[in-house]
Amino acid sequence: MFTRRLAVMVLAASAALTGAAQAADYPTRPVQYIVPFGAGGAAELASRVVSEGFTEILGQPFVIENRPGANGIIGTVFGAKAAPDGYTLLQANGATFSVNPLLYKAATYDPTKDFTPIGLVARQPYVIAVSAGLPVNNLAELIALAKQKNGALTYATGSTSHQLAGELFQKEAGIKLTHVPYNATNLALPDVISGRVDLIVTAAYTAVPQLGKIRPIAATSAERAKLLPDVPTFKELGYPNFVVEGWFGVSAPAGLPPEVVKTLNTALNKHLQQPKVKETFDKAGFEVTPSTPEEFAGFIKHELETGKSVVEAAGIEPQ
Amino acid sequence: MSTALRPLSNPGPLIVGAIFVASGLAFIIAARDYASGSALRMGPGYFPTLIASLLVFVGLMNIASSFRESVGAGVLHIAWRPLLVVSASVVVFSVLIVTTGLVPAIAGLILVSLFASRRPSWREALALIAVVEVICITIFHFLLGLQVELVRL
Amino acid sequence: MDAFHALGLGFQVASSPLNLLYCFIGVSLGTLIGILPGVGPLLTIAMLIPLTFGMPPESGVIMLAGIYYGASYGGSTAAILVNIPGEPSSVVTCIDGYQMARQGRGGAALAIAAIGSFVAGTIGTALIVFFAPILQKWVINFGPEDYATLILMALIATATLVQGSVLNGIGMALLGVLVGLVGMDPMTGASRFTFGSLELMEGIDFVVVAIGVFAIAEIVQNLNEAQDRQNNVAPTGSIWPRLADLKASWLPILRGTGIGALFGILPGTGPTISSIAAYFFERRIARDPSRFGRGAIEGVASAESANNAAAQTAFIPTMTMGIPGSATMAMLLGALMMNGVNPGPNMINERPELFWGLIASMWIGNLMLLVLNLPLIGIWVKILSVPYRWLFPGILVFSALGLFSLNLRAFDLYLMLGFGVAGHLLSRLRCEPVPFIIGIILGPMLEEHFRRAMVISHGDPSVFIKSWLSLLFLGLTVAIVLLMAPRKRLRAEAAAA
Repeated sequence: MFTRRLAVMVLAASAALTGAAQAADYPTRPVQYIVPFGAGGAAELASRVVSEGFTEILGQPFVIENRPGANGIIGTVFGAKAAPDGYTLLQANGATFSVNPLLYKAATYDPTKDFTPIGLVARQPYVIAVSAGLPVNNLAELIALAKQKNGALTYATGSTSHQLAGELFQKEAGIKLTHVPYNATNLALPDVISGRVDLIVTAAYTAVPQLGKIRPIAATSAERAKLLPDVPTFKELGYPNFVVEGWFGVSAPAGLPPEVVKTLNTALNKHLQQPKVKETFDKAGFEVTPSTPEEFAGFIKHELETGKSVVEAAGIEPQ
Repeated sequence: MSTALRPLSNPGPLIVGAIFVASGLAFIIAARDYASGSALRMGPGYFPTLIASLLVFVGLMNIASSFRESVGAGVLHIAWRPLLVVSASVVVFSVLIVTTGLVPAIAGLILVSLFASRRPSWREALALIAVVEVICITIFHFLLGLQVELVRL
Repeated sequence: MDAFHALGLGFQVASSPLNLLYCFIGVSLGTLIGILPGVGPLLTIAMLIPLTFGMPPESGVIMLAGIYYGASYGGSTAAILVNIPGEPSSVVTCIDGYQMARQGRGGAALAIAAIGSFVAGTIGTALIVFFAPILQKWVINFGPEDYATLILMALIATATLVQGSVLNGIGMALLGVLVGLVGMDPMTGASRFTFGSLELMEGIDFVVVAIGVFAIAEIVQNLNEAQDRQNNVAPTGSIWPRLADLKASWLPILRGTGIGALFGILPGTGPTISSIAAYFFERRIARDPSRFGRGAIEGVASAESANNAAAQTAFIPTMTMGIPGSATMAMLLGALMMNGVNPGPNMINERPELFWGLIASMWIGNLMLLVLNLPLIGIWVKILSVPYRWLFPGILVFSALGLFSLNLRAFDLYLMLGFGVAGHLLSRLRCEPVPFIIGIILGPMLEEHFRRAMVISHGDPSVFIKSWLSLLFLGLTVAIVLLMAPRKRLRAEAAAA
């Protein structure tokens, strides 16, 4: 919030140096980009790339504002209530849009109605990994062990969208696991490495440095994770309905004028096509997925429905 | 001589005990709406109720001790005037900073806080305000880029 | 590459003119941030990350890390001089540090804090270099049941540190835990004790309570006494530590460093618990424990060394395993990732110049801070000799503005005031703020680990006894209660009579 000044000056300077194209009318002043998580989380990279891209292409500083709290609910509620004038944008992700409204009463927003989707940014494959000491080498063995233990196997998650993957796993495989939530994945890792917790659902990217201490069993995305090409997907292993990924996107409060949406979407996709950006995301285990606003809206709906079916099947009540 | 029960000569622990018991009970009542869950799956109400119950217990022990000791530590003198002055100055600051901006808020706080001393001097006040304004504006507005308007009319 | 070669490489990297400059900028900025109430290293680091994209990654990380431990030095300054803890780890420093300042020995306290921190930083760096793998294993051994009992032990220990009755201390700690639980429950998502307020759902921030209960209550108290004495609290005497101070401090510094290094690695709880444990230990083995709380230099020395050692060893899991222990560490990790470096077991091999350069620069940064802070002491003492009726409005303005700048809402200020008034009233009843604020910090962590331990053990409470660490901490907790309680009660009664 304060040395925001410095960051703004730097961003503005870099925009000037790159000869940014000026949009005709929008934007004419700095834009606030709400990120509903604390600085330094998984959202960090995506939010920086996006805000820099907008700043470069549209010529006005797009400044990140972290509003953490309540698993992303606080910032998202704030974003929903802001004025739809294009000067407040919100970073949307799987946890806040597809899962939280189903799990938490405090998430009073409707992801399909209270927001104007601008565009998807990137998707991130998750993997289900086991502690190295667990005597399973593939998915079939894992499921067999889970059935045998009848709910005693524990799985760790660092965010609610990991939890969604975990619940979907139980539903599709017909098993019961005990859920151990953590506030962040890094807090879960020591427990999984030491074997106190049996499984973890995490981004492929997070699993890579821990290979040897944890063993990825299956990837939850539609295609194999680039960073873990040897890990089969659930789809390949016989669960065609099982596709869950982490995702980030840009959205705005409901009622944003269509021309502004178009300007933003075009700028966003233009930035995402740049090889430098693709490379940055690749290294972090993301897959860049530009989209149109309509595609993004459809995606959000689909995700929410997947979430609903999982939550209902698991019998979870909103708290 | 019998050890008569003289709680009023030992008001300190009695008042503290009462505060603890009251606070504990308040939290327990507020937590009644939250699911307690079981030890395996602790609901949101489990831990707070546990802690609040301990607090009530501590409060009761305090009250009990006030009966035991016939003369105890009294209540220390409450600094009413400084309390009021400091509170007023913070309230003035809070109201002014959102309505009129940084500069008037700082001035307001300093002006009100001068009432803490028995002989406020206007010259001192103005000098102090000037110095503090300059320092704060330099650090917070220029160096740190605080997004608060200096003066909003 | 053996350790000495590695260190050599590190120093080469760290002492390049560019990196020295960035280190200096980092620690200076960090010190400023640490002194101002409210403002913290986390936000500053977040804001400066974009600036690091143009620099080589080593330089960027060196600067950001400098902010991190520079803020710890600045926080100690504020804790000692005006009784405002900038971070949870400075709370314990307030206890004796501020009392020393009131006795006119603030300069000595600051100096010993700086020296202690430097020694701790040096030893901490050496520990990282030589013992990182061993220390890492230590982290893995800690399960949620061990964290839970450790935190419980720290809470109880804190409650016994009070000057008054231990019973009040325990009560304040419990009250603090309850206040700390206000907000959204991270495990279930339920809002607790928020009464529908969206602001409260975020929880009550440590800074709000710290400024309220420490700064506001202290100002009111000082005004109270000033009225009676018509004097300002002017520090007199030499501002430098006496030889006796140095002699008294060197062992506490070493002990504090050891304890801090050990606990600092533990994620989340590390820095707070380090300073509590070190202070408590020092007091326990002192020949005259009653000096603690009234300006015992050993208290400052041990707490400060512990929290700086903890700050250093907190880098270990972050750098070597890619597991950050705190939000600030996560920030630094993020900064590294954005600069194209992947912290983790491979980083030492892939980017030795970065890893060892960082380690070396941490030592250099500590040295810079020592050199920076010592002359500043003279300036601080001059500033504080201003008559209180001029000084306290300045402190109030800085506190209010610093707090307001976090979220830009008046709600925080009113909340702070509420805690300040309550803090003053409670202090009149001999209930002290330190256990209360430690309760706020540690309470949610205690619940988190307690719950998690129960989930993982499938509801079996014997897990707390089955782990030797947990059993140890439980035993120590009981020992603390048994040993300290009766003595304190008796002393309190004797003092009252």
